[in-house]
Amino acid sequence: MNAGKRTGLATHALTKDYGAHRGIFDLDLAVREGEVFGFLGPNGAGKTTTIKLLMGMIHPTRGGATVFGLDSERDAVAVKRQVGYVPGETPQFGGWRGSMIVAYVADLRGGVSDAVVASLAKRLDLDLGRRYREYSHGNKQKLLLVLAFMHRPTLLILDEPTGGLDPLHQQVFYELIREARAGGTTVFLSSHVLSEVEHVCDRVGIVREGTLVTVGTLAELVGVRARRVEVEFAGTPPLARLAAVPGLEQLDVRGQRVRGLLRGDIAPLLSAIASERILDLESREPSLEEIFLSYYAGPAKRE
Amino acid sequence: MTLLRIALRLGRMGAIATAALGTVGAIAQPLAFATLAGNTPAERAVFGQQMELLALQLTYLLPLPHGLGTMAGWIEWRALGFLEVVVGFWAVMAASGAGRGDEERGLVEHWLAQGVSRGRYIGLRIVAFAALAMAASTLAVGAAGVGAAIVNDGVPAGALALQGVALVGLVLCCYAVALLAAQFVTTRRGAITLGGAVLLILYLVNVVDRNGAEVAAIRSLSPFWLYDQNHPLTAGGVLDLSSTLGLFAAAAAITVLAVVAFVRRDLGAPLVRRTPRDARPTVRPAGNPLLRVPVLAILDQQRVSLVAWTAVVAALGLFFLSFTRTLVDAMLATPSFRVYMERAGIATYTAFIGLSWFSALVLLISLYAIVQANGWAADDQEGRLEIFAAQPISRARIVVERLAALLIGAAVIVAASSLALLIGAASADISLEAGRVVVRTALTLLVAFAFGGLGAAGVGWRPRLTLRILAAVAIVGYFVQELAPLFQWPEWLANLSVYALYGNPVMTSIDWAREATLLAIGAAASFAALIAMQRRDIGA
Repeated sequence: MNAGKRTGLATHALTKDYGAHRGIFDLDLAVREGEVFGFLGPNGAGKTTTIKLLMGMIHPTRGGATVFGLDSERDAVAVKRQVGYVPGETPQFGGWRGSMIVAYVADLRGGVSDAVVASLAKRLDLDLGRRYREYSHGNKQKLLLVLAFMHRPTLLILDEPTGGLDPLHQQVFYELIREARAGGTTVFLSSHVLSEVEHVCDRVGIVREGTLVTVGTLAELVGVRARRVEVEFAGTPPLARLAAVPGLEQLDVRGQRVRGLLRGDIAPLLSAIASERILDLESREPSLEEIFLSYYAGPAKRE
Repeated sequence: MTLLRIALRLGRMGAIATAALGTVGAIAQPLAFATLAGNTPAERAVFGQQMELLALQLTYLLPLPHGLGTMAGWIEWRALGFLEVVVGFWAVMAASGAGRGDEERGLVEHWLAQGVSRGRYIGLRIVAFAALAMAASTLAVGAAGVGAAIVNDGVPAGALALQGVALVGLVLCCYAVALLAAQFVTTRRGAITLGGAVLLILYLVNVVDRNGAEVAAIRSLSPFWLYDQNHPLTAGGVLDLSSTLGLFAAAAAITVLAVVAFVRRDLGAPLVRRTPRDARPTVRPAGNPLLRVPVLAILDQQRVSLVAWTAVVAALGLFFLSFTRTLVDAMLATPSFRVYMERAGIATYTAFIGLSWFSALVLLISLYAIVQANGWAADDQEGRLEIFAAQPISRARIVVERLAALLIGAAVIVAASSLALLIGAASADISLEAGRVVVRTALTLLVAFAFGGLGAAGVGWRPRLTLRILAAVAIVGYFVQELAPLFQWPEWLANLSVYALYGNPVMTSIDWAREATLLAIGAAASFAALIAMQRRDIGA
């Protein structure tokens, strides 16, 4: 759907090596303008490290990133002028009132409309008159969303932005994302919440132990890449032949019933079981959750 | 056991600082006594009489003197007497950390969630502090004994140990008061303010009593008064049993109250909740124009502490001038002190002010800079820096704004102190050249710049380590500058102190080479800070 659009955000062999296989390694990624890109991965996979690299908070060991053609390191100020950012961890502002934090950050940024701030705070049901330390975790997250959206950025970089939000305000957040996308804003968001990614993302990247393992549209990931298969045999399952089927993974044998995840063509599987008496055969598209988990079942490929 | 180890670890820096300060002071004073008091009993008797006159001018800081012509009396008054203020300060800081600081950081909630009971948590914090208090007190009184032994004028170890027991009682009592106070507020800053205020009032009650005013009805409420009743070194090696028992009983009772309050209250809430005000919600940014002006926005956020710093430093200036004339007269009347003062070049009012006040002022200003550097480190550790750095501003601007805010804040403080000094001098009929005072006061900003630059560079490198290094530079530099003339240390050693670069103000002409060195240190460190900020990872 975004074919032909310019690249909004790109990384080239982006690497941050903390040692002991921690960090992010050789990340090559391109997010098109106006696209909502979801970055999925478990804790410690390298999502936050990637986001901090994109924001220029930390320096890469090698490689680099560009935002709308600007180098995220060299042109950091120009990049940040276009970016709205929600960090992965909520900061502490102690006794500051929400209104003071917004005013101070708005001055650092410049060009922020009070009306936009008021509109965001109203939609998120956030009282800016209260002290930050009195805010609940969810309200702190709402304040970070106000700070990220208040200048109508052309790129949103959001690290698990719905953490702590109640379902009602998660919906408000999704609306904000849809409105931003409709206005041409590019969004790069990391998340654990797969339903959230399904809600708002055009494409998804999955990262594992610091390495990007796949990128694709939801349709690609769900419809083409894999399917969940379950076969019930009348006799003993032919495990040796099943294990030899290309792309058949995660075999789970329970008596005469075998479950697995099949990547690619189904024909080799059908050939492998053709000589057996089959009581039941089920093949369905896996949920995004199953896709996600499928990338974490085996050992990491990186040495 | 693990929690006890953590509690000991959390309290170690305060204990080390207190023990270091106490040990250095306690070991130096017997050496000073041997130098100043003379060798014969007659000389020492005269010295004691003269010093007791002087001591009566210092009751705001030191206890009433007993037998100052003896090493034991000198240790009791001068070596260990100043520890009352030191341990009071330590107790407030430690109790506010245990009672509120760790709660603010979410540590207490975490520990309680692991199945540790509230009583056990707070009990272990108290036990850990008590252990640290005993260790620090033992080191301090032991150092006094070592100092006396070095000059072959030893004092009874048993009497020293008893003094140590009383000192532990005082520390525990102060800690208990501050811990109880912490239960009534919600922040560490509030706990420091309330606990500090209560202890200051109790301290002043004792000061008033020392000066003979009639406060007999309430003086026994003050742990400082109870501590002052003990003279094991000069009164036959025994403690005043009732006051010492009172000290420990009060510590125990107040500690129990603090524990009960902690167990009963909600985490993050004060013991007594105010009815919340029904304020109208707002969705608009604050209209405060200062928040929209670079540098002033930082100062606006610090306005309460800046006003407090300004008021306290100015008040200290006035207070210092209020007793300068009497103090100098009394010291000049003491032959051995006269020699010391002439040797140190402070035998006039002006010179005394120049050395004593300005050396205190530069110490206070460097402390202000260290506090600011601590705030910069906290910006990073608490995630604020990441929010600021996510805005379209350069990292260099962050460093420059911080240093500018530091210098403006320091300028406000020293300007007020300069004004207070001139007013105080005029009212005490001491002639001070206003222009010289203003210039020398302004030059203290170079010290702030040097410490600020070093702090900014260090915070960009190793935040926690930097604060310890800066504190060590300040403390060692101050002591080196103070003790060098007393012990006739070589000039090169004295010049290692940052404060030596500031020089001896008011009396001597300005040594521009030294001032330029201070400026160069500040500039070089600031440049290093800019590079460190560019190169460092934020929030990692």
